[in-house]
Amino acid sequence: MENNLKASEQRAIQYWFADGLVELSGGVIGLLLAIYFCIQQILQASKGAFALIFLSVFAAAFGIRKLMLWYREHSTYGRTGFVEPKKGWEDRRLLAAEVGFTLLLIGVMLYTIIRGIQTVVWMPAIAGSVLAFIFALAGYRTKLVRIYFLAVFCLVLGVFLALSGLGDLWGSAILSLGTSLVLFAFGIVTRTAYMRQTKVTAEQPDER
Amino acid sequence: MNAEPQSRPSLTGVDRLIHEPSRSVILAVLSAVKSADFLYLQRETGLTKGNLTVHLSKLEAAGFITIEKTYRGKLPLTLCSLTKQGKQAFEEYRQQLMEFVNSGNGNQ
Repeated sequence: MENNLKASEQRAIQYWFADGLVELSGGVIGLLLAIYFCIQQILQASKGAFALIFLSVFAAAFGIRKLMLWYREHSTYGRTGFVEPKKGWEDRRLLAAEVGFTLLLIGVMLYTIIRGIQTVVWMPAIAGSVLAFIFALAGYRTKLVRIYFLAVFCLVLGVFLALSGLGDLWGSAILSLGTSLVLFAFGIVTRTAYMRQTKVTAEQPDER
Repeated sequence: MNAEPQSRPSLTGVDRLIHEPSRSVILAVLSAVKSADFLYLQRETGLTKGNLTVHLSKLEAAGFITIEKTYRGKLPLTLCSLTKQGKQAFEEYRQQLMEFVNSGNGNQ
């Protein structure tokens, strides 16, 4: 019985990832970031232009999230119901990990600035580590193997790209593209399975 | 000479309201998330609408959950969430269950 309860809890926690929409929208955002880094590398535009492009990508990412939530309302909630997950900061261990990692990142950046170490070439590794950390936290919460795989993938790819000497922008572009492709692959597989296994059973308003 | 039998945990003291498979599943789901709607709980428990409504009403009457009728976009939702009292009661129940299982009674 205890195992049944744990399984029910776990399914509820994993529900946010059950329909594949998170991965698919993450894939789109990754693709946009890859395009942004490519534009930055190819055009060698001014800092102001970069900031504008980056803001556009940020706004697009926000829009994609909104779109995903809207689509989810229409496709997922009518099929398998609505679950509002707990916020990340409600789990003290996760909160401690988030604060610890942020402090570590700030510490490393300050150290490199003070010591005058060139960090640009390590940008893909740093970005890969940040992505890996985010996915690792999500994996820890959901216990989904594919999310852990993404964490390892981002870390390994980021370090590999930093060591390859491609440069910060090409490196970051390839990291974003690689991550988005894996996200798309996971998203498509998850979405296909979800749509096959579920059907629309919209809640009737008079069930109580 | 017989030794004094040790007091072993039993299930007699568990909350009967929670110790019903469907209701314990409902509380397990709600303990893991902020809220869940009627349809999700129905799928998770495998109950009919009528049965689920009865179980939810009992849990609500005991003060373990709150039920809120709302809309998300145009979709009507019946959102259920665990109260502090419900969380505490469910944690105690889980603790009792674990003690019972660990004592070896669960294998008898």
